[in-house]
Amino acid sequence: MRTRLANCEILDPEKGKRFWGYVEWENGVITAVKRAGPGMVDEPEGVELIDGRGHLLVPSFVDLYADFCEPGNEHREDVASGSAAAAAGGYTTVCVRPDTSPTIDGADTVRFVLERAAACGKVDVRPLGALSKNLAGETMAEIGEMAEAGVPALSEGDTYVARTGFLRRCMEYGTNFRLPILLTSEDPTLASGMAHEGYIATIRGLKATPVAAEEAAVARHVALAELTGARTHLLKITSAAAVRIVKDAKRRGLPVTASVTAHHLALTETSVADWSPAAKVWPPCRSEADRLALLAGLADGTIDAIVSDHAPRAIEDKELEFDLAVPGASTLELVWPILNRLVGAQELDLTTAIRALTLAPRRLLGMAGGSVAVGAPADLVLLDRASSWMVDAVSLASRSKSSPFLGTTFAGRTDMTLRGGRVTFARTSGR
Amino acid sequence: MTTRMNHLLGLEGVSREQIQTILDLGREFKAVGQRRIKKVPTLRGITVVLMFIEPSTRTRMSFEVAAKRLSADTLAFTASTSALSKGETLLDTTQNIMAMKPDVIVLRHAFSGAPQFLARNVDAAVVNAGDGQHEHPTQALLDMFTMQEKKGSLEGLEVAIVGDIRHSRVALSNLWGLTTMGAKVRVAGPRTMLPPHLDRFGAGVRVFDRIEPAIEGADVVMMLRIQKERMGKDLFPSDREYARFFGLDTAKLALAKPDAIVMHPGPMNRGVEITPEVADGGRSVILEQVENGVAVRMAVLYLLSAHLLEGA
Repeated sequence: MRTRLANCEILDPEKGKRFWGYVEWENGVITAVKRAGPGMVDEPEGVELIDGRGHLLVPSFVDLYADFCEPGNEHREDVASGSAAAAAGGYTTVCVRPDTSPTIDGADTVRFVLERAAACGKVDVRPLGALSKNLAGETMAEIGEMAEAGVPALSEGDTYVARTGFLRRCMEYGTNFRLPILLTSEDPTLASGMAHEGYIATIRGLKATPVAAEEAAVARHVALAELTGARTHLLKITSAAAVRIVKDAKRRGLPVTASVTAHHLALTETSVADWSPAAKVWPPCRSEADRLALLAGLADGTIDAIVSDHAPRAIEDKELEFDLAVPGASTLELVWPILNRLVGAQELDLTTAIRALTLAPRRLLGMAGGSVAVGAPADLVLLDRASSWMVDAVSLASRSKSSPFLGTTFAGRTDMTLRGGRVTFARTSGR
Repeated sequence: MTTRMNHLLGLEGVSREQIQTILDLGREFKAVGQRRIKKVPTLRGITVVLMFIEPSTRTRMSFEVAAKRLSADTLAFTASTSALSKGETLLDTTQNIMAMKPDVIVLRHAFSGAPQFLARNVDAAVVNAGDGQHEHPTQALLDMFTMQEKKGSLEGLEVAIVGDIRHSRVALSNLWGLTTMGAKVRVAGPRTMLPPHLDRFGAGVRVFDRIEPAIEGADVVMMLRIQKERMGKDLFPSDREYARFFGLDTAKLALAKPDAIVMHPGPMNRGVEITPEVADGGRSVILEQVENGVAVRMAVLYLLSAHLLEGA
């Protein structure tokens, strides 16, 4: 059975082209991409038709870093609820963090997560393998067996590897199995708290972490990338200093890539000026100058990808004083609305944003796809760019409703997600 | 009294007029404490909860005396933060206390922003009695009350604040209050104990590396307490070295104006940030600060709750 999605604007991030048209697919593979419309032009016999309603059609999103909290913290999220949130956000592939309980540090836990994901079938959930057993930074995890079981990359999650020499050996060993290493960067000995060390932290008495904590760790990771030759991805960088180091590393041809979150592109240190537990995220949103440097880094290609850093939290994690609140926010369903708002404000180029959500993460993971072209998989997302809606507890599919954007009105959201030509999400209202 | 406050969470954003109103009213209430019978019926029927979720003796006693001299009913809730974080949350504790229908909650808490968290979640006036390293507004008010009493006006007054500014809620509240009132603040201490971006307070605040130029020609020298647990750790080498370079002794005090006063929020580490000679000397107003604290806290409790009694 052929399916045609028509009456939409198609953006192909690989070719950088944008045009009105329709896309047809059969057996999960795109068979035709034609210019047509706007409007439903013709309705051929024997073809299932989907009205794109004038929305934007792009390849589905791929996330390098999200927490589905299973096993261990299913009250916050599990693979099924996380998959539903991901599909509702426009994603068809999500790499999930290894810092679960127990840790994803062996083939058995990898297989467990893969089985859970297969059972719900909405999203290709790909567990990241830990570098060390129990994230303790002492004994190397069985990286080869995890590679065999299907991990796409290695990561120590939000945990800092204290022993630089140990990290070096993990990175070296990972290259035997061609696995990229995804690292977060903060030297914890420089951090006394979870706010950006700046004027806001000073006047609100917030315990803080300076940019130098990230800068020192990013510099260390770049040095190790050069030493080991391991493909090194710097997850969710937050500062102008980190952008500068990555830019220099790329100029020198080192195997370094970087990502940023949508909320770090949109928010600054002022988001925690009222001690809001919902706005407590790690790493912290920093100064306006840092935010602008992140946008510039994305524009000039220094930053490759946008990650969700989906970190679901339960009510009891957040109904607390700022210092006690658990950092993190439910983000998978808000990435597109946030970015669309930045595009609307002319702070971000639409094609750059889409490329960072689609093509760039696929390339980092060695995946095919990421274009709207004949022969590519029919992994697509239809993006509404205009409908006004407000973020509230009922509007999110994630089990976690914690977000700094609760109560925010956005224009646009995901309208439909297709994985292998099959609808994994369709917004029911108005369709 | 026309000025009405909903909460007193900090001195950031509190206007000059509001601060002066509290200080003026404090003067009237100070007289009550000097009478034979130190009690007035002003707040009879008002319930004040003293919620101290961090060890404190002086501030709690001061608020308790202030409330009792105004004839308010007080009840105390004391717990350690660690016990609270392991068991009941601050919100649950507060909701239990709210069932007793208090009018005012005085909160001391180890974490910055806890009074704001409380104010968002309860239907009572909240007074910040010190939150983490954020603010301690009534301490700064009593400090300003004392300065005004001794020096007449705060406008143009040269005030040196010396010590651990970064972790001091007293320092931050004083920075807001004093700059609002037109005083000039000089800040000195080890760089490890100065927060970033003090320059953002504007021309009213100047930062010094050494204590001597900060004190020179000052009208007021305010020494801050060095927390015992910080001694000999990462922030400075030893209490001995601290005393030598950043402590106040008679020789250093000689650099200040001849009529300069010496203040300390207490409790003091004698021999560390201040020598006993200076602490007990003729220019020390440290014990008067304690007395004035009661008067200022009476003024704050009055302004937060007197309107509840209108028509009662």
